[in-house]
Amino acid sequence: MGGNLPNMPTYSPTYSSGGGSSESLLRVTGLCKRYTRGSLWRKRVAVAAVVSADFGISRGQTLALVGESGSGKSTVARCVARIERPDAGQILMQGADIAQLAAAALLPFRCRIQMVFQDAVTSMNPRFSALEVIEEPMRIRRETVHDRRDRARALMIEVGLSPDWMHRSISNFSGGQRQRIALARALTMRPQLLVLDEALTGLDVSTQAQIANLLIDLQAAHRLTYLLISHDLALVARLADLIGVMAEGRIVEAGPAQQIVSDPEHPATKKLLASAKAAAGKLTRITGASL
Amino acid sequence: MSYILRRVLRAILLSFAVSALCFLFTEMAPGSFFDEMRLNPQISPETIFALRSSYGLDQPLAVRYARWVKAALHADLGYSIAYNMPVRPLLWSRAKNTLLLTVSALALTWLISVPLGVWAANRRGGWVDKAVALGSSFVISVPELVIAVALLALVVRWRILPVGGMMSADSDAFSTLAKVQDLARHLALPVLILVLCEIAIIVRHVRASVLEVLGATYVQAARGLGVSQGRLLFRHVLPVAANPAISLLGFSLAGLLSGSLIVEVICGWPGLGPLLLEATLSRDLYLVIGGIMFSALFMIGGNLVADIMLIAVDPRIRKEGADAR
Amino acid sequence: MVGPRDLLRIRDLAVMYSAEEGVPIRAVDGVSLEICAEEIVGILGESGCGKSTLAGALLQLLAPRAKCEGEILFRGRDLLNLSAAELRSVRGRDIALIPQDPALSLNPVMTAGSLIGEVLRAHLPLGAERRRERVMGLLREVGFDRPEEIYSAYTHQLSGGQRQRIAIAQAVACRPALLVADEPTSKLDATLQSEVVALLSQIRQQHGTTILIISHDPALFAGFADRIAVMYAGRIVEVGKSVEILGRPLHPYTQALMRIATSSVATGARANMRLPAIAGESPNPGCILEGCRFEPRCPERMQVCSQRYPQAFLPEPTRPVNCFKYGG
Repeated sequence: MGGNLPNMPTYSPTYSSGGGSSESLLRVTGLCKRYTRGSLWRKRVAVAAVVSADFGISRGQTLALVGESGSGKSTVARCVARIERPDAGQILMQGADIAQLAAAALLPFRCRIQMVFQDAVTSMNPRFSALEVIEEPMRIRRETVHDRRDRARALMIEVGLSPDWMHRSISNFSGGQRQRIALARALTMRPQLLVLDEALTGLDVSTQAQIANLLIDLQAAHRLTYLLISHDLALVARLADLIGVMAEGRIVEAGPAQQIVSDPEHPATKKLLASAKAAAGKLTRITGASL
Repeated sequence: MSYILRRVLRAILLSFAVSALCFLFTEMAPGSFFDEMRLNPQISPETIFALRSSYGLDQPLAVRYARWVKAALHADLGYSIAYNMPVRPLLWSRAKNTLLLTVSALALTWLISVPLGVWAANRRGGWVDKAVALGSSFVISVPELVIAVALLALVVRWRILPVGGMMSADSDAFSTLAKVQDLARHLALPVLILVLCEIAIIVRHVRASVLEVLGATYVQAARGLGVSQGRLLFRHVLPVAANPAISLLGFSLAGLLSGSLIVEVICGWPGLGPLLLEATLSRDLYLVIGGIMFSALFMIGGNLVADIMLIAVDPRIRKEGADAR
Repeated sequence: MVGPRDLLRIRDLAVMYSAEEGVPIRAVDGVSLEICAEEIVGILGESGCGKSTLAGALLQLLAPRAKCEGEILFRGRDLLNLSAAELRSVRGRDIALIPQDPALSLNPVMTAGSLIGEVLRAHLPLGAERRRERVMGLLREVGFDRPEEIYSAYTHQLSGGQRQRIAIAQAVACRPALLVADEPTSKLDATLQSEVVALLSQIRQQHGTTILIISHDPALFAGFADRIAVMYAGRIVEVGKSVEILGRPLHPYTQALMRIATSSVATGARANMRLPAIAGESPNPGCILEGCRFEPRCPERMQVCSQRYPQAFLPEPTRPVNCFKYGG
């Protein structure tokens, strides 16, 4: 397992962070996913969303995949969460390859890997109450009403929502609150890995900070591992231990967050960093905050 | 324009499928034209057999179908046993009248229902909107046959319109203009029945799709840039709202055509309806198949026209799957 | 009296949405703001604070169940008392809106050229040929080097950044005196955000257009807006020069917001460090408090804060702040 790939000199997949914990949770090698376009009368064209991606995450770590829209980062997330079946490559979850598992064999892994999306509203039935949304996965697993209620209540408190609101319908919650509900729902399965696909995008500055803090607290409390997908390098730098920069379906640069931000090598990284700094630069000139 | 090509190919495939099914079902239907002859002791079984083979009915289904297709491609639809003449001229003399009825009903339906639907949507909750809602629910909830018979009864009682046929008996002596007027008066009742049965659903659909588009962000944005309400409705809203409405066009054509076959029988309009009814009852095989095929081709053609109109209106369809973003 | 340089003067504006039951929701409450000609004013606030309602109120584009009170004087005319025809001639010609999401705000069955041409057509008596020339000029102005290609393109053939440029070209087509930009960059990548801001600055410089820009992101205003009004829960809590508000905020809410903004800007920070968030949520507009609306979340709250709403105090001559810290 591991070893450098010849076509990617800048990235060593065997990298482990200085965080101490080196118990590997997830290892992805040679991941490839193509989409075909066309129809009965038209020639089929394969469009590669992910050409080749290799990375590993240790237990309790956060790996962020950053890149511009269309770089393939969301496809990687969807493959890891096995919403998509990759065309090639391995996805080793604690040693077991889940890349090609069929639905039934996948079931135990579905609980261990949970996904949270950008727009929590679209992944929830707007007519459901907060409680119904949170306990939905438990209901599917046929847990008793009593257990479900207790756990939903505890999780609501943990993600910072008053349990008094559990019967309110989803449409009455703000964007930040819905994201908290989405996190609570993901946690009902006691997952080890959370795949956060742009889960902080589109939120207000202050709400984003709240959810980011919540993610940090939850990670510490449950020893969670995060695969964080974002286009915002500045935000990611605060949350991630490791950053992988994606461009055109490949991870073009990867390393500890600190290193990526202070010493970028690949042009794609430099471009992302430059636009993050350009936005920040004007503000820091006024406020005097240091980069 | 591979979109059009695909639609045309689909239409052709569909026509063949319909003709095959048509053959299959007429074969499965019990009885044949010669059954009554068999009961007649004066006609010997040998004569019947000879007749059958002279019409080619002794051949297996596949062979008959192949022959029919081959002939149909040369515009020969076979021979009517009951009328003892080729199907095509027989069919065409009646189909003209059905076409006249269906097309005028279709045109009238859309000419009324589009403006009415747009108006109701534009003045949502106004009196037009309420009247349309009430009227359409009434028409939808009453069976079409009841509407037809009720209108017929009213017309007969008040003697406002002529009933039966498509010309007055003495029409040969009329001038051209008077002939057209006479035809229009005869046409009025069946068209009215058809329009009334069809219009309610279409007004509702037009209203709903216009309302949906009116609420779209881009319409609000255009309004915020000072585009006037009339221009907004007809240049910005209607082309978008037309998309679902045009898809409905094919559907309404089917409804009108099948409706007209019944209305023709009720009103005594000399169209395909009475002919087909008669042919079906007497098991006049090729006439039935010809009639059904004509109706099917008309509907398939109408849907094809609707599909092509869709491209003219909606650029998103032109792009359908053309490139990968 | 309206000062000669005041282009827009909002006085005591309140916007109420009638709720199905109970009291109407006051989305905007007691907002007063003056905007001078050629100024860029930013409105800073979180989602749900009423900033988009404010933008909608300027052009009377709110849902029919919204009711406005107060005055919005544009060149001395109250926009709240215009007839439908007068309103139509103001929209797009005097005041134009740049929408939040260009993917939703451009008609999918119209070409870019006709989308821009429609605005010209609504206000200027131009022939088809002249109109086409003007559209080409506008396309060039918003940064398309080959306008002919864009002219006949439909929105689904354009990228997000290109769409936003089309929306801007629509807005500036009739050279309006005031541009209202409602979160014009929130749906764009960081690179495109700075391009849009640069384009808006350029438009102001070339045509002296006044711009009211609305955002939740203080970084967007830095180096761009002249003045900033901070909104919280339907009210303006602080107004001042952009440099002052961002560099030395006075209201506790603005202070907290800037702490977050500057810390998330610090890209080199250590991982897993908590951000200085504001605890709690902004109040539900359905149940508005008697006192200061930020009071439940305020680290510096006093007894008086929950009793009545603070009027504007002037800790510095040009900086009104609605907070009892500075008087009362």
